[in-house]
Amino acid sequence: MLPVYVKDQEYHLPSDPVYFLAARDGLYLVKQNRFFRSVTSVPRQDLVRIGEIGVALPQRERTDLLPQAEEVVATFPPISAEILEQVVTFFAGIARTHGTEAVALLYYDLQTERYQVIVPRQSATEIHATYTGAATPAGLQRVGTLHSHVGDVAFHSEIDLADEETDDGLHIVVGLGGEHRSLACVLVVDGRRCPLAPETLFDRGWELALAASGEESSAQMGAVTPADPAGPARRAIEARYGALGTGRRVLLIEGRLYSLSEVMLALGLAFEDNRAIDAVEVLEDRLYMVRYFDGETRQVVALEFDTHFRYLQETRAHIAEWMGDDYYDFPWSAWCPWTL
Amino acid sequence: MVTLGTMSSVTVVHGIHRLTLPLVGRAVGGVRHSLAPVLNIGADTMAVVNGGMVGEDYVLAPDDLLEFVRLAGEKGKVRDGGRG
Repeated sequence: MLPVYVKDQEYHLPSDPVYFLAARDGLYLVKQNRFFRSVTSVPRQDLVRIGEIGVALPQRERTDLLPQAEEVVATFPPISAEILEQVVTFFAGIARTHGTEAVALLYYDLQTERYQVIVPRQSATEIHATYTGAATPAGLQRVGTLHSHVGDVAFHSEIDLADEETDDGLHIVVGLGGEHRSLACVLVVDGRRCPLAPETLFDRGWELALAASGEESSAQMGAVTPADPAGPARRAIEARYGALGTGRRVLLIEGRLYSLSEVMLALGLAFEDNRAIDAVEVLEDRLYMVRYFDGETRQVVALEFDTHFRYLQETRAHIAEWMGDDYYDFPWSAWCPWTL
Repeated sequence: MVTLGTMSSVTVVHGIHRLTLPLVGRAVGGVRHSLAPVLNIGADTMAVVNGGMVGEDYVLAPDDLLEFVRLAGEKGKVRDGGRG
């Protein structure tokens, strides 16, 4: 099932995405994709398990094999400074408004060949964050994680190391504290950690994006009465699904047309305090989003679900991010009639 | 080298990894057991096939998309307040 190559004089670099390489000093696992190439030694105890999926391991020791060493080479397509600015602005906004860390997931759109950031459901404090997993949206490839440190420089803690042990990919920490904002980037493969310099990952302008993002928006917010009260959570929602209220009133799912109230019912969200706003087909025939106002928490919720109405993830933003100063004048004892 | 099978395939995804393999007819649990050291799949993952969660006894069908999804993640400084 998975190919096994022998490193002898005839050996040429294969193109298989994953293969085994029998060398003089043992068996190696080679992984190569558009993000990295890794060669890691295979522990003896894994050989039996690997054999169970039909990998024909060499039965006899050969004396003519060439040596091999472990290596990891990063080949990530450059991450744009714009993406970094989006992420840091989001992290800085969360730190400013909630005083907590935050986590985001980095994806790669296989069709457009551009990176994309999705914020998972999470719970965080100043020094800790937990986040829920979700299936990878169709058309995207999960690349890794990003998270912030509030009031401290970027580094990978022991908890980060444990989290990344079985999460091959790129893991970035954004330090919002210290004299200057900082980045700590590492490629993790099979538990091996390969630190990467930011300049090898990001496009030109990343230093400015890291330093400027968040600062400018807060300066603007402080200097003038904000005409646009949008914060990072609202911007994240509207960047992914469009302006609030511009989505559909009905969704076609598996050949059946659903009204917004039917969607809410199917999702188990048909409560008195919840009011559906609009819906979007995020990925054709695969992934949908319904946006509703949660009256109990006064938040706009963008909830993604699949064709079976299974919850995938949600993003929340406080309604004040749309209402601005109107929020404080509104008689909240009654149901929100504010026109979204 | 081993010859790749000609039967219909299954795409297996875990994080940054995506592989297409002849796994039709195999149970998810067995695939997890065998591919865990290859794709670095942790025990804290759930199996999702074509967008829906499945049990370990689910038998893979042609063109299935099997993803091992981490249930949750955790970031932060060392819990005792020190730096890691």
